[in-house]
Amino acid sequence: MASRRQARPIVISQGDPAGIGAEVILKAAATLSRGKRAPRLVVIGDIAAMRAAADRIGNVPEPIEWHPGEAIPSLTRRIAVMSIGKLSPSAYRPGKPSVEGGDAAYRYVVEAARMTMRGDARAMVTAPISKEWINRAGHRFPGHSELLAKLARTRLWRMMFVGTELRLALVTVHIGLARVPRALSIEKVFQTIMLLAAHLRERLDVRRPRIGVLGLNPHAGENGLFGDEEQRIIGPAIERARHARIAAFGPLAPDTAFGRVEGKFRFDAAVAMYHDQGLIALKTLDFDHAVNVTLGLPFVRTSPDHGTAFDIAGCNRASASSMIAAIDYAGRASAV
Amino acid sequence: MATDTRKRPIIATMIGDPAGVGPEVSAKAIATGEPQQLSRPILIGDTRAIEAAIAKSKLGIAIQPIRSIDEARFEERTVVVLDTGELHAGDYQTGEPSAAAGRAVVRWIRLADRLAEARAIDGWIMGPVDSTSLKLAGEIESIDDLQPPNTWMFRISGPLRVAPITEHIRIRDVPQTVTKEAVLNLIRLVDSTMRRWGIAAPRIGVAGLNPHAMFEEDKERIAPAVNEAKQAGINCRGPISPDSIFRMGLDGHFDAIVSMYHDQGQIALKSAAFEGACTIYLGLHFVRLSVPHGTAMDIAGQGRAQHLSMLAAMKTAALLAAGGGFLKEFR
Repeated sequence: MASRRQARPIVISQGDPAGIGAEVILKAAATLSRGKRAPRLVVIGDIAAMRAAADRIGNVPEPIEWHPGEAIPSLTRRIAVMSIGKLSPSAYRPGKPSVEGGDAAYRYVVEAARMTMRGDARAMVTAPISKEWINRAGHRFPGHSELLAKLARTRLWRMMFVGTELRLALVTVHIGLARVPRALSIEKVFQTIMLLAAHLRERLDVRRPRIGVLGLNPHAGENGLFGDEEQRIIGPAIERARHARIAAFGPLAPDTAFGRVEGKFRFDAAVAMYHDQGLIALKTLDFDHAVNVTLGLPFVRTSPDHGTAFDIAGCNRASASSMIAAIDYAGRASAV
Repeated sequence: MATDTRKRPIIATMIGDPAGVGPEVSAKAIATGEPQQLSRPILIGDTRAIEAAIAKSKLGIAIQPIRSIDEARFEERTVVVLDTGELHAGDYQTGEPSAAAGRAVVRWIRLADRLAEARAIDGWIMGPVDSTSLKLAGEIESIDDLQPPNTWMFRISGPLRVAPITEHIRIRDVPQTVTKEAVLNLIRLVDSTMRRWGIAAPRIGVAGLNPHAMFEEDKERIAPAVNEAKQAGINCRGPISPDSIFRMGLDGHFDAIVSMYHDQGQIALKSAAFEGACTIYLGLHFVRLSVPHGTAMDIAGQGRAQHLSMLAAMKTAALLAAGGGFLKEFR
């Protein structure tokens, strides 16, 4: 069983064919192929688009057409691409997004998710898509996580971000700051703590994860002096988690929570109340290697934390470091 | 050298709570001789506490006590001390907060402000004060009361410099304080103050309020303020996604960042955590700065306190008061 699990590939959806997806995948594959244990990868996308990108970049593994059941080539020279349909060349012109490309990007994600849910892949990594062009292609698509949650019939999920040192989960994501205080509830904070703890235990083999929970207000409200969400919501959620035998603590003052004692954070992972609270810390500490992980899915899904970057697509200037980190994390989280 | 001396700004350092590490870090910083190269430094506070710190750490410097600034001689290996004389032996214990120390600190703060208002000094630094001492003295209810009215905090940590619109208020109250007027006002204040400090055309980044700076307040309040500032000739950009702007600041893209609320900048500043961070008040005609660390009562009087933050504060205050820009070295 273990060997079969090891043999299963990580699937990577190619992302929007007009973006930097193909470029960062190929550059990441080139780097990973030089490492000790190169992962097995299958790109779900378009073989011609991948080849065009490889020709532009040079010195990367050669994309070859791959079909389910076939052996997966070693990354040292070649990278497997499973084509979903066949794009017309205009759909993979760098920096020129199209309805055809948006539609394809959507289908790559769906196929990668199906393969992972069937157990044919050990984990999935998603290259960046354009929400706008997927929606223009007629698919309802609020975001990767929402689509994957729907396909997996998961109601409860959260976004997690991982840097080289810092891991954190968000209670709320893309809402305006004005809506954040009302969006918080004991239940939501508690669920986030539990999903994060489960991920650390089950996927990363952290036996007894210590979870630091941030407050909402400056200095975590300083005992109700400026804000009571800490007392009404966050404190009770931490209590509930502790009753469920999770080593959660806080509410921590948001600005000092990420301070280090003898070079280490005080927690294995943190829960942030809103998007920027977590991401400002993450990007200040670790801007180039951040990985986005969806918690709560029945499989491992990661992605680099950048967008399609249509403005630099085809220029061979995109950094693959976040994609490398995303593949690497997907491998580690699906090894346990 | 003698002509130089007269040009160098007079920078006072109020030692902070005499029972904490303030006297020690102030004396140690002066003993390095570095502040004297940029300024004419004086200390304001309890002479006895400063004497004890000099003796404990064997700093080998003498004290010149003065009653008024014009008595100061600024000689080598000598520290000029202005003491209001209200603290007597036994009024406080080293390492412990007290009402007496709290009262003295408030008198020293008022004295320093008066001297700066009268332009007898060019700026001053607030050493670490103790909120318990101040509360025991009944002088203030919260540490926020020490902030002069109509001023904004400008925090520095390495290459990152941030001024937020508001300080300690509830997150739920933040969005309503982000108005076009408030943003524009702060951009202008940052720009004019930095020009006075010696930065010719400061590059100012303006943070958005919301994720990716893509919500209503970002488009309808912050963007118009930035546009108006640009039309007035200010070199500013924004609103920029809050999760990117501080990284850009660390990478040297801006001379200063205007942020929309306390934690936005503080999370970045404290996560980056450079040695020698400090806070300056914007909105005063003189430089007023404070050190970021506390009184560290647990190690007070032992000669173990680290003075690099205080030294950086003294050098920064001297440079800014003379219009010489920011300290270039940081770790």
